Amino acid sequence: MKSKLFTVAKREYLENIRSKAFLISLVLTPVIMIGFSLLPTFFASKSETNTIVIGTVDETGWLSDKLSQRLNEKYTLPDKQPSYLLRIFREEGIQTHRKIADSLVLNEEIEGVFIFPKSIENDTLIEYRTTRTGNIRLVNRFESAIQEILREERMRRANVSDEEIKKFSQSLEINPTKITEEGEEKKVDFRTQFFSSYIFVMLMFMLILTTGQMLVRSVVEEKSNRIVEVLLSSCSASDLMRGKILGLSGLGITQVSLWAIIGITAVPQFAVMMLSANGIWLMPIYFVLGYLMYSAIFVGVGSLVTTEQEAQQITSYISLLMVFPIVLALNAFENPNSPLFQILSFIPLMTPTMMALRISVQVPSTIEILATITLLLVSTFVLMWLAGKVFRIGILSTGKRPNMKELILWAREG
Amino acid sequence: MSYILLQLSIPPTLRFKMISVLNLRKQFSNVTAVDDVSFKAQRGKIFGLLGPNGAGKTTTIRLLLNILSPDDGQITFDGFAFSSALQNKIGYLPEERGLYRKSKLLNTIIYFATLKGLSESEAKKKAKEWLARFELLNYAERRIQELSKGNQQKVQFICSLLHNPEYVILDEPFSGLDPVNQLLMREIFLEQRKAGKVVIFSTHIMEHAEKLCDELILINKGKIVLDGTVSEAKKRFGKNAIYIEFDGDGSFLSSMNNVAKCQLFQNYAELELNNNESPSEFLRTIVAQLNVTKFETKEPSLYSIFLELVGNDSTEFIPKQSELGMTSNGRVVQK
Repeated sequence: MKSKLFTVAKREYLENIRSKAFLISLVLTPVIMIGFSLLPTFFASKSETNTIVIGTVDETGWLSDKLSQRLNEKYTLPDKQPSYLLRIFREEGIQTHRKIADSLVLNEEIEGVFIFPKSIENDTLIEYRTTRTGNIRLVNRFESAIQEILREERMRRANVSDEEIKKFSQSLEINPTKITEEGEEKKVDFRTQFFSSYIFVMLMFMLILTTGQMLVRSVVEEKSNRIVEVLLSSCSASDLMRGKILGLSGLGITQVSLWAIIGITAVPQFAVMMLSANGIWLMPIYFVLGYLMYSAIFVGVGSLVTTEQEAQQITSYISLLMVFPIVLALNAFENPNSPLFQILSFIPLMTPTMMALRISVQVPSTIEILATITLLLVSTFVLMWLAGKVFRIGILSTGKRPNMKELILWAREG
Repeated sequence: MSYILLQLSIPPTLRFKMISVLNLRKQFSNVTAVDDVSFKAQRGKIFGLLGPNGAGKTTTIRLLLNILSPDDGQITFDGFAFSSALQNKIGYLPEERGLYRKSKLLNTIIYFATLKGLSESEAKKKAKEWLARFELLNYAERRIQELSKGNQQKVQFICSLLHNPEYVILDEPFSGLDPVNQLLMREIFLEQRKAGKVVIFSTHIMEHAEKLCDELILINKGKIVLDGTVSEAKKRFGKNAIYIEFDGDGSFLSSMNNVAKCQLFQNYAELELNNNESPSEFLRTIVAQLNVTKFETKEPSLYSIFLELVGNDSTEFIPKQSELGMTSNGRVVQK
């Protein structure tokens, strides 16, 4: 006899793949993800289309000219216009100029004003007056430009030749090279690291959110419509539950595959970069196990509640647990094997994300990998088993949500 | 062992051919929903499971379907205990109707049929036959939520009968149906009986039970309070009620020894005889004194037996007009 598990799975798959919710999440998720990663750079480069006028109140008489020259060398807009234009107040009497400049700043005729007092030739403090102190990039660029000019000027006054000045001023570039146990040397790109684990975590999160919620919705619908009685008179509760998980996992895999195909065709070099990331082959293991574990939780929760709203409240809290490690992502990149991260890796609900983050930086010891996978396997099995018991009884009960005591009783009876 | 002996006492042709329930018990945390219930629903007969709301009918049915497992007792289908293979032979209509609201009609029916072990092509063919019979073929590709309530009910019936089940178990099948569809339903009931199936249905509306059941049990608070055929039940609870019309002075009737109750009017009377009194004997004694123009022994209705057994506390027992399908709510079969 053909197992009814597959009949259930087939229906869940086909009904949901035709649903609007699925289509929307299929299209919207990549849009949101791409949006999140591209929008900031888009807006950052957008602000570079206009020349910014900066005032300088200059007592030195020479600093502003050199600064203007240097800025023009370094920073130009896409249309070859200079990024910054200096408006120089050169005459003596800093106080009057400062007042004029201030009013120009307030009238938004200039972005801000730098004050170069005569003492700057030996001092280290420069005043920058503006209404927008948040423009860090501008301040950084000016800081380094002015610093370079002053340094060179001081050296020149100490009779250092131009040639030597050039030599001293050469900037340094660090080329990080990673050593692996095999002795291979690989050039590491921070972005590869970050994106391979970031994409992994986001994919898993999105998948669990979308198909996990479909799972809950499907359970709640059958429960509230009492369809479940007809189903249970036709197949066993465990066939029903496993069929649902299988069908919707299939749906999830379809979704991810479609995204992958789109991603690979759109940016093939990125796919190559992803695939060459460390321990990428371990990711699917954590992915599948993590997915199954969360599915079990969702199915169990879905069978306990009677309305979708209730279900969504609970499931969103659970999903948050899973993405919590992403908050620690930057720390994890710095020090993937710190005791804190090792401990977090052994909390089953966080294991998949935690390990994904760590693996991309430095593959943890084999023992640790085996241990976490075993733990994840065991907890997935236990949760599946528990969910099956709770599901069997919960799906028939209506009315108030059971308390902990009743749940334990169900687990025993089921 | 005792069960096999019990079976051997039944004639060979009928042996094991039934759903047999023995000493069934199911307790929920503080109520005993089903308390020592035993019955046999035979093939080719319609078996009624009657009782007020909350009597334990639905729990009994869920136990039959193995949706719930009993605390005690035994259920066998033609002699076999429940198994997953048996699920394909059961057709079930739940009390609270429900279907996938957003799914298409035909797809839903096919899904339920394939869950009962039919192949998809077979299910599709049969689904179309049934939809035609219920005049729903035009709706096959519609979503269920677009259908009227009555039509949704019909879809649910199709789902429970499409796979030609051996055991047909229907929980409150008549509720919410208009008179036209109630007739259609009765036709199907009789068809199933003719095909030699076990048909069990539950109801709390006595008119339906009275017209359809071959045998019945009445449960109240989990216990069987009455069982047998409809006429047996009536005989057992018959009150020897008599209605007479006459010419002459009937005043002596109320003082007769064998009369328990008497309501006397100008030229007719409603009497209740003592338990052992035969109505025909009674007629013989009174014709000497009265010119009797009409004499009628009145059987109690199942409804009055119920009220008697279950008591007046169960007011929900009185059928509402809507449940009898008399209101304008029900929709006439659509073309």
